[in-house]
Amino acid sequence: MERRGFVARVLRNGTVRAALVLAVFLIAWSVLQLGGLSVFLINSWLLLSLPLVLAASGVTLVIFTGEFDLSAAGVVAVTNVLMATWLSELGWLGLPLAVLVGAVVGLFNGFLVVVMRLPAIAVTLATFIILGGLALVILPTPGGRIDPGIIDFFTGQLVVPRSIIFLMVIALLWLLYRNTRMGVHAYGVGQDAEALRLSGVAVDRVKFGVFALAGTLYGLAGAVLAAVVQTGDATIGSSYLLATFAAVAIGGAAFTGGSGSVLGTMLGALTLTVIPKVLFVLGISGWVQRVFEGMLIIAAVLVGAVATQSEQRKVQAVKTTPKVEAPTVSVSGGERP
Amino acid sequence: MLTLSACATGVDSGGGDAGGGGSDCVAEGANAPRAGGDKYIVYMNALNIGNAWQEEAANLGSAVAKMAPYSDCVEVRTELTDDATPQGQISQLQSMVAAGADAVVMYALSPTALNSAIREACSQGVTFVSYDATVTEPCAYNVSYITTVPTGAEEPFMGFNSMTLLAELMGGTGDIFFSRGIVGTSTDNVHYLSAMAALQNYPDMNVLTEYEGMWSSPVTQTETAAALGSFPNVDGLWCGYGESGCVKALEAAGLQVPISGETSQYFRERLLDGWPGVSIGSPPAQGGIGMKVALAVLLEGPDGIPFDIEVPYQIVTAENVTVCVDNEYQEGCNVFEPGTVGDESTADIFNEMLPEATLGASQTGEPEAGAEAVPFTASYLQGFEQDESVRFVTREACPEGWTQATLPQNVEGCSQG
Amino acid sequence: MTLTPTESLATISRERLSVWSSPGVARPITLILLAVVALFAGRLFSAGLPSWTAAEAILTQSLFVAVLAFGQGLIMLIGGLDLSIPGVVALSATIVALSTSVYGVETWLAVLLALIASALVGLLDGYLISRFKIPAFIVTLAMGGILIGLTIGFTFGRQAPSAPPILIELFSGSGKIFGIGIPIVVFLIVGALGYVIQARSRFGRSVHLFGSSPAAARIAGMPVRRIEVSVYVVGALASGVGGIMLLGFSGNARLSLGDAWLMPAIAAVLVGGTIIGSGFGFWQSTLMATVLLTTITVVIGATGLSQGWKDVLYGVIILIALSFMRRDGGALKRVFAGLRKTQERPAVQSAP
Repeated sequence: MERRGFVARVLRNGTVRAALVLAVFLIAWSVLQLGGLSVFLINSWLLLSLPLVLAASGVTLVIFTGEFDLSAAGVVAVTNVLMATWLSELGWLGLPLAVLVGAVVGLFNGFLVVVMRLPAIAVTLATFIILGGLALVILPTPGGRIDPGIIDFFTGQLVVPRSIIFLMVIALLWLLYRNTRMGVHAYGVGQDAEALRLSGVAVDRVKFGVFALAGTLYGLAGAVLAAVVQTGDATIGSSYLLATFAAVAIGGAAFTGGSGSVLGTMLGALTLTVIPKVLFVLGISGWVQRVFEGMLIIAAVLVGAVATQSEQRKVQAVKTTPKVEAPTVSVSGGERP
Repeated sequence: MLTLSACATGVDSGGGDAGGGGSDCVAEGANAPRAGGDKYIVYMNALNIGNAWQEEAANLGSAVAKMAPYSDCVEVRTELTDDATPQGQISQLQSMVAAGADAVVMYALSPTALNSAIREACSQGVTFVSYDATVTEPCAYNVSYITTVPTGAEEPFMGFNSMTLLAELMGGTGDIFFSRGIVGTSTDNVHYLSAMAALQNYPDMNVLTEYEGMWSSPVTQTETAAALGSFPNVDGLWCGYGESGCVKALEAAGLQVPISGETSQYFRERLLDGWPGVSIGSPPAQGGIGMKVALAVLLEGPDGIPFDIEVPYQIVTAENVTVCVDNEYQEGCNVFEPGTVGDESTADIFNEMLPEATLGASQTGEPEAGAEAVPFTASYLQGFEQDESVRFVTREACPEGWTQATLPQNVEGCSQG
Repeated sequence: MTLTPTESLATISRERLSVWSSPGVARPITLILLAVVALFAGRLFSAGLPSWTAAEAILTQSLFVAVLAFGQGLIMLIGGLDLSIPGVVALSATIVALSTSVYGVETWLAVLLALIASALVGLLDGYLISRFKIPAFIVTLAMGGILIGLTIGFTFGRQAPSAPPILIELFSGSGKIFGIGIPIVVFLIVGALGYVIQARSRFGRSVHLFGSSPAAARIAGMPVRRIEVSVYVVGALASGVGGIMLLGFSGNARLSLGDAWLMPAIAAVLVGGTIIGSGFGFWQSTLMATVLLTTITVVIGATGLSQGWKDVLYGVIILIALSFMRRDGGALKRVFAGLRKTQERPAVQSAP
């Protein structure tokens, strides 16, 4: 009993679950890979995942507040082509400017959601479409030039592959952010915005800030993508539209807001990019590949769902604790024969 | 040592004929299999997006590698992938190289994004061939129709020729729709620019609207039907791949105006019925030709094999459209027997560079029993080398002694002096 | 942006005081007026606009968006999102085309098979979502991929089998009843049927209540699990029907048949003013939003702008349309309120 309780408690943590899922895939990959995993293989995998990690982290911050943000793919597309065109001659300055563009889009989203009171999912769908169009206007055909200094900064070697350092920096920033006033409030907005408002927190300002911060991360993701693929391409961002949310789901954050961790999302993003590697070494190709990918994603999320539910059931049997999750989840979750 | 030899343009040594046969596949000057076995591992890569063209190209590629004399020396692995993103392709290419690939034949989604991964592959002795779409990386082989002068024409570029032929069909006057592919890709851009250049020769022609057909017949049909709502008096249509959508939208509206489209069976069958149109487009044979180029480099060494190979293709109109009896290749035939293959299948399976192609091979990826491939020789391939004046289009660089200039087809190319 | 049940009920009852300013009436009227304005504005770009031909093309395409948006709307009412639309469309279209053209099955039986398969997909989606509380987003995303994969597998390399002639006659736009295109007649039927299901049936009311508050629905003694699952079944059925219609429109069961319709379907629900997970939304608004969005696409298509600028313009117009759909009733309602000089508060408090 004790041990089962412990296992369930550990599994209840979305980040731990995401780490376990990723570990399973990593082990499978390393066992099946011809000649084992090399530093080169791991580094190039992490590097290609980095833009998704950044974009999905931004999406997670918004989801914590109980809102939606579909604009990530649009921002990635625009900043990617900007890095290859207008910003390419500016050298180092291009990077902060691209990030700034992301922040401005985030502020625009925040304005429409907070001030204009429009539904976030609809607003950000529109900004996604607009930004995708702008990217095509800026760069009608793939190409352009990325500043070599920026390419080297993101892809170069530094004792350990830099991709690992960047991932650690993102994780560290998250741990710091989580305990800032804004980080705490952002969680609170997702859990119970009304209560937070009554206790004197400027909920609107928190949401504004979170949208801007998320936009900043998308901008960075676009710049990193430009450095990784070393080119500009207006169509390259579109795959992030859904992948970012898949990463969030595997990472264990609740779409209703107020729970989860950016660490989980980071692991979820890495899981999404390692699945094709595993299927490749398994020799799975063609239509079976799609079926497997879909089933693995459902399985990865199902692990967490089952763990959470068994824990919830036990908790409810003992006492009725107030749930942090949104009513949809907790109420029907409690509905057991 | 393997190193960069696969990428270097060797000018010395004549290079031998077909490598030995029997168990010893490795010819002089060529590399041994990277994975250490006695067979070369070759990856045939295409997109698994339910697109007839992609499957046909991949099938022709793997069928060729399974024919004698290649089958003794080569293990072909068909990799159909659903991740249609440049990032995904970089990851796949790295996986293939790590799995011991000796050659990768790939439909590259971006002309530039894969470059560093291709460079890395080349440095490990892997031969990289891009078919249909091209890449700018110098160590990669490009097997493509984009800049080819089509059989029976004098100017390069499919877009330029198809628009010129459409204009002639329309008597040099009238209003047209322009149905593009996926806007933002380089292939679409070249088609678009060169087609618009052709229009400059016809001042009485006018583009009413252009829209994104996404190289997909359902999308093309939807967009065309919407455009017909606004402009019911259109006189002609220029349509990229997915042109059967253009035909169907016109049929629903009860119109029969000239169409320039690619090579679907549906469109060619309408040409048989007398629909005014011109059908030219990307041949799926490029998959098989790309495979043969890769095998030529592997088995005979890279000497004398050009890096830029132009694939020929046909111009088919209502005048010269001819049924292939029993769906087998006959001189001048260019459409399968009506009703025997799907509407979306490509009618242009046969190609003068790929005499091994059969309808069955394009559908299954398996050669007919006892089929034999005709190996490429370096001298044969040199006959299909890309004209240097258009090199900038696919390599974004001009050969030595040439400078960048805008070609009459509106596309950036190279000029001498 | 969540709406508590009391708030939404209060909104509705207060709105009843003035029929014209109630969102269930004002919104669809605003949307269709915007569509008409857009159509006439098309005159600036094409002498062919506005015309009956254009209206016919718009309504035909609105039909496909509307059918898919109906299912999507129900799912969004209860807080989900259906990304498996392209997968279900491809599956259902392929089942019909393959079984009629290759295996010689009667069309009605093939359609029935496709609908059963679609319903089963919805059942599986709904089970996973309601039993394990997995976000609908991820279940339907993964399911869409699985379905496309299976569909490729099932066709065994047979590329894009042909549609049965009756479906082509019905949905390609060439068939007419009394001079009106059949798709337009079907559009009207779908509109009426959707209204009856969503606004007038017990099922529809229970979906609204469940969406606004699962807790309240449970306390009211409703079988919440069954309601949730059935929403996904109905949603998948709508996609299946959409797939069959698109098969008739396009003539071949291409795998990409549904790709281009997912985003318009979501956009129509959102522009129609449905607030995700709130139980607050009107089918008639969604229906008119499908017409508005299709009209915008057609009119933008006539501008002759490059693709990039077209996308920008489309997105900006969606933003403008959204501002008309604000929770306080939007611009039209303010106009009506001003005309009547009513003493009532013209606008309900905006959401927090």
